[in-house]
Amino acid sequence: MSQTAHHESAEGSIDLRRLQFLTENYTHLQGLRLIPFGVAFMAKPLIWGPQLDKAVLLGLMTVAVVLFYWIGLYYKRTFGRVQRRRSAQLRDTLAVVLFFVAVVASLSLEERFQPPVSLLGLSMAALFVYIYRCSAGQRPYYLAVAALFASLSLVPLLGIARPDEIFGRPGWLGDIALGAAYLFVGILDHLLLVRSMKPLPEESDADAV
Amino acid sequence: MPTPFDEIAGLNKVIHEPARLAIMTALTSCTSADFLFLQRLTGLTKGNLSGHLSKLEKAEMVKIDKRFIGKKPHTFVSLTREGERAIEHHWNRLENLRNGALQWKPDEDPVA
Repeated sequence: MSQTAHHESAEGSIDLRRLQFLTENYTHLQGLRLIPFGVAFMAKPLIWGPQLDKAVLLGLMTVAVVLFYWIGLYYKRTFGRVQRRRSAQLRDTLAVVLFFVAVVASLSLEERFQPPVSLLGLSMAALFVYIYRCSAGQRPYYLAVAALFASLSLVPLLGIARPDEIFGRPGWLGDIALGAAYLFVGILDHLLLVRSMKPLPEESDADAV
Repeated sequence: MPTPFDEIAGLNKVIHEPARLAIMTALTSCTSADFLFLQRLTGLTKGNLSGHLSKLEKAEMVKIDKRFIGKKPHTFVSLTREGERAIEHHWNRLENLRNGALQWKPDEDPVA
């Protein structure tokens, strides 16, 4: 559907592109839900170091999932609910599956061939580019995060560290970068949503249509 | 061949009202949205939004579904098939009108 971006109304200017962007991306703009994961990823190496107990990791992720759900209730109460189109859900599911395939393939290829760059980091960069492309260019900060991950993936070319020392199992830099990225994009997504939504107007007796 | 005035006169008045156009356009991007979301999106008061939704429902452009989530009632709104067709057609018509206006040439007969 092609349409003009602005339409004047009795209630003021209604930006139609904003309406469609917010409706399409409402679920993704609930950025505060990413914060617990960001904190968990950063806390993991900073507090416990590279040798983290699996039980502690499982506990951290469980708390993050519970908070993810709980913060979701805040968004439902404050901004309402949207059921996404099935095609959009399918597209995102496909992207997540492809991402996990890429992660498994990257880990396997890195172990077998020891390439001079981190394939895992490049997969993450590709995921952030995908998110940017899905949001019609409205969330450019995802490109910045993708650039950060791509740069970190290329660090091994300088001979400073092996790819697995950055993003692999013994690596801690990848966890901190991922945690920081979640915090960064989470806060910016939330601010974008809050800024783009309208405040609830005062009710008056003259509200008849 | 219809003149631009015929085209304008032929626009669907129920959809063309700006608040209803905004509601319908937003609904093209999802399966359904609840009342609060539409209110936060459009900035309309409860009374106004309710009135616009009633008009759209009467014209069979939207389907209004009232559900209980926990103990609270929630109103979900979605486009009907007719509504989907109507909003698509409406935007195409507006786009044609705009394109037609941009293609005006000074030597064309103004009376035609």
